[in-house]
Amino acid sequence: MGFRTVAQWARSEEEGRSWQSFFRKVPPSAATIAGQWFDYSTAAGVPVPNYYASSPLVAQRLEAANGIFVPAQNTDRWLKKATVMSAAAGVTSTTNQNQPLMLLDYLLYVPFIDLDAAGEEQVFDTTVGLDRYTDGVGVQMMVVTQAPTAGGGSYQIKYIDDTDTERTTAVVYCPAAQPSGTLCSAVANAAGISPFVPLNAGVKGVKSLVSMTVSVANGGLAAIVLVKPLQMSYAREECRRPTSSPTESYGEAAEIERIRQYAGSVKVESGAFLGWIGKGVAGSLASAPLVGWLETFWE
Amino acid sequence: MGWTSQDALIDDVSNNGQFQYDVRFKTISTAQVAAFWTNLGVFNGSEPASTYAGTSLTFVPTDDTWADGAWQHGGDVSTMTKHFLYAGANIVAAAGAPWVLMAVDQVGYVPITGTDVTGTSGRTITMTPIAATSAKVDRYPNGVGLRAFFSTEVAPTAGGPNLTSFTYTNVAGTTGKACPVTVGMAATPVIGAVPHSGGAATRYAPFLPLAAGDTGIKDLEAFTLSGGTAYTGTGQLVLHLVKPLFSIPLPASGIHQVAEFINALPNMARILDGACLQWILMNTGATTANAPLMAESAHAWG
Repeated sequence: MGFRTVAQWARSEEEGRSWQSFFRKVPPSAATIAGQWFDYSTAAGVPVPNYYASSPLVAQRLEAANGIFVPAQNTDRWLKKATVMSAAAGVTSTTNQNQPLMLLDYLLYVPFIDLDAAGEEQVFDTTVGLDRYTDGVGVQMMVVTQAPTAGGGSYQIKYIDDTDTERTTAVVYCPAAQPSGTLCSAVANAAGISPFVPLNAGVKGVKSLVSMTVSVANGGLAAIVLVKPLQMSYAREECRRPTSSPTESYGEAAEIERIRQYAGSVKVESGAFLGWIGKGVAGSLASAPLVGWLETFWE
Repeated sequence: MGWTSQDALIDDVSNNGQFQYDVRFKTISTAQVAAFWTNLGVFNGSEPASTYAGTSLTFVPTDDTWADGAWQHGGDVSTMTKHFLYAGANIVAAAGAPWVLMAVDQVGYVPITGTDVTGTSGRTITMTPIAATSAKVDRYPNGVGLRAFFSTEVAPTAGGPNLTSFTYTNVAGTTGKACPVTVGMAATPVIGAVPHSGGAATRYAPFLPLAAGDTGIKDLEAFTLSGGTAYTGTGQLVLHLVKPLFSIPLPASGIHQVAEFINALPNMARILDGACLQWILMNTGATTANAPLMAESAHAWG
């Protein structure tokens, strides 16, 4: 089912079928490189940090309660509004400005892949599979560092696509040295950083993971995370107020409202683990809190 | 009632005097803690600081005649309905930004004092369940849309227990409904702080999660603060029963942010007859002591 009218949508507020979920995520102090994506789910704050900590190379799901908390319901839940603000790391810091953000449903991950194991196919235990978006359509792979890297490496991933066909990605390049929590995929050596690993031609999504083979050692550890992108946002100006001249205030709140600004809405599946990734277009996202809230409603 | 066209709204605002503009102030006189929510009712301003008086564990209904001070929004208008048209706010502080300011209608509160703060056994709340009458306390029939949160009126000396049980009656009248998660409480929440907010694990804020499918709270039944470390000292907590109305993001010190409710969806949050309008605030950083909040709003009825 889905809602059919604006009135039905608006009544959810008066009838108590809505919830505001607040978040405040503070990336660690290690600098991220310009153009690099960062996985805010790994950052400290509210909700608690997600370390992708479980048995190496064994697929595992994340618990919804550890993501941005949206109460479980017996009926379908929908995204109503998202508001984000990016606070600067310091009163003169500007590198978190013009930051594209993406709200994801984190579905499944395989942790502790050795990015130094060049030439070795690291095969995954995928006994645990997807429990939502089970046909794999729209499901993307992102590679999240779990330890600082040296950079300059490359790898290929084997996966099962939405037609149950085993595929091998083209060679994926690793960006220059990165701290933990950053996304480690680029379409050219140390450049063209992409949040998601490019899929093969004609593939609509990823159903399960098979293995990763590191071609050139990169240093560090990583998790491959299967995610479903739900919505983009864009924090244009960093939030800060310098303490010396010019003592002007800077900052804005980026608000995305479904229906009025975007057609339709996005369903929040039962068990969804929600989190954001952001791209440091202007430089490092270190110590720059991402703050805001999601408004959801249920039928 | 209400409006069926923007023309009708404009006519009521410009010709019929069914409009009110308000400016409200609060001074956040105690420094707040990063990542925590704050109940601004404990601070002086346009309305004086509330002491949340009453008998421990006994519900105190509040409306626009509340002696501690409620925002005067123009009195009853039934059979017309009253709605926010826009609201804006700013805070000036050396630290604390960005903030999120939320307006709520407080239907009532439960003072919690003495051994009801420090005790680790279940505590039963005395309250007449919200009904569906014309009484002001029943302005949200059977509690539809109501949410609950704790705040700190006097900081406990130390501790940090878990809220291992929070039970309520839902809108349908089902008793014994329970918060589905164990909620952690901060060790020494400062005055105003919502003790189950902050950056630690098992914190849920500002509102306590309800059981799946529940749309509100008809009756606050009981709670248990156990596990963790029991509170000590002579702290006072307050359990609030509120209806969230709207939120405004405040990006940085001194930036006045306005939220417009006519074109936004869902639009024009309703101010019910008797509404006791209050503010709560989310602090990203540690908000500096004596930070002033200025909020403006306009509402109309028709």
